[in-house]
Amino acid sequence: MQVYRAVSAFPPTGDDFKSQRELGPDKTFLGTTECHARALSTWATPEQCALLLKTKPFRGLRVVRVALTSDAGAIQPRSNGHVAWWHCKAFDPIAASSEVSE
Amino acid sequence: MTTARIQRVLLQADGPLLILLRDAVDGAWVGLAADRSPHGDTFACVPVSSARLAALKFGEMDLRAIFEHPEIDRRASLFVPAEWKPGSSVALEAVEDFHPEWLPDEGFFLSAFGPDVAPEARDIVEEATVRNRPVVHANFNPPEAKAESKIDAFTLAEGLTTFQNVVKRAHALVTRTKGAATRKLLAAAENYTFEVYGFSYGSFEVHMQAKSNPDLFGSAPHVEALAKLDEIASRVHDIEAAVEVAQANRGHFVSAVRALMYFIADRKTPLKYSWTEPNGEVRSNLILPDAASALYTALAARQELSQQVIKLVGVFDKIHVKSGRWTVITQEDGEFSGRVAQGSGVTLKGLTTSSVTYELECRDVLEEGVVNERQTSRLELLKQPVEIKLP
Repeated sequence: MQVYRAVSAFPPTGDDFKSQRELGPDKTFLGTTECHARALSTWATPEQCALLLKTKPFRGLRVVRVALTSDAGAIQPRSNGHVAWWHCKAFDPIAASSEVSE
Repeated sequence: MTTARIQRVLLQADGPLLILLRDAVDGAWVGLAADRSPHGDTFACVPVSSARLAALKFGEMDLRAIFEHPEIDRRASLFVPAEWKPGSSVALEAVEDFHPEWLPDEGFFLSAFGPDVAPEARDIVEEATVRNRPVVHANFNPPEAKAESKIDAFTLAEGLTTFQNVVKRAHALVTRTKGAATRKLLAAAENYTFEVYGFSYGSFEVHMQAKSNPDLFGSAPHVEALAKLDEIASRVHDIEAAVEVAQANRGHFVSAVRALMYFIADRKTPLKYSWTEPNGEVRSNLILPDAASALYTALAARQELSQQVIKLVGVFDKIHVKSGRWTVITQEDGEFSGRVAQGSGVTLKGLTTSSVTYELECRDVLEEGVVNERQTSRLELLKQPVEIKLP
């Protein structure tokens, strides 16, 4: 399965694959569970991911394709295209990323 | 400064990106994330009408236009601190203008993040969005409605009651496996009850919304119950498959489904219902009288599917040996009363009240022919109570 994520540069760095909880250890997250706060937001299509770049928190980022294999961790796709991904520590998301041409 | 409550997150992307708020006079605002830090999130907020909110949702309006040209000339910034507690109010600080960087670029259509909505489903999606809770449209189409727009009052009342009762029983079924505390919390009627807020013009399509307040996702416990109903309603034209679903969900839920099938068949009233929740897909099922009749016959022939066997662990409060009546107090769910099942051979003689804990296996039997909110059930003790030692 392939999912798309907004990252700061290509190739991405480990920081690009940190969850909300890792970035804000003491933060309350709106409308999400603790479980989802520990997941990464990825998207089913590159178009959806690219749309995010039009907003302030994602402006200047780029879209990468991440090829998820069976050892990548757990995912939960939603009907709106959002795919929550709890990535396995043994899985290297940077090696699994490829650039999406604009 | 205006106080507001965060009603729902419209779009999550590594945190809330777009949120919906309600101010003190119930006015809606949308907020777009402008800055994120470990200390909290800042949002750009503008008031929004129901019509605009729907236009945003259906991709008829660009997100930038919503923020650049608010309908009412008000703009606010909102800071949600890291230690913010869900449910507490937040402060909208009025601003003259937004920093240009806060505005989204042109071409951001929220519809890209939602399931495709068929034109005929637009109304229900819009209603769920604006009302921010699960919505059901139930369409009853009795024979008298073919020539002119009318419906027997009893048919409408019975149809609604029977439908609501299936949802009630489905709710009990899906919450049965949850922990005692959650079960108790979800047992309140508002967690499975719908309230009617309108009708479609020229038809008997009843519009209902979930009675309880939804969470920040706009979801409510009703959704799980409706999904349970869908499991059997979507298989109504394949009797074997529908009976399989009944077998896996035996008990009062099956009784309630059987009553609904009887209503549809007996009143020759096809039922089409659709439901959705904010950000959810629209699901629809149509149950025609012939199919309902066949399923009713199949379920009536398998009475055991309607019976619910439950186990209670508690101490007897009252025992009446002669009449076979008893009352037991359980630790988790309180008091239950019942009687010995006929022909079971169970005797209450020699059982101890107050001090000894027993396990009871009972059949929970619904009172037949009564399908309303006061529908009652009775417990019948099937086996001799077994004394157990609690740790």
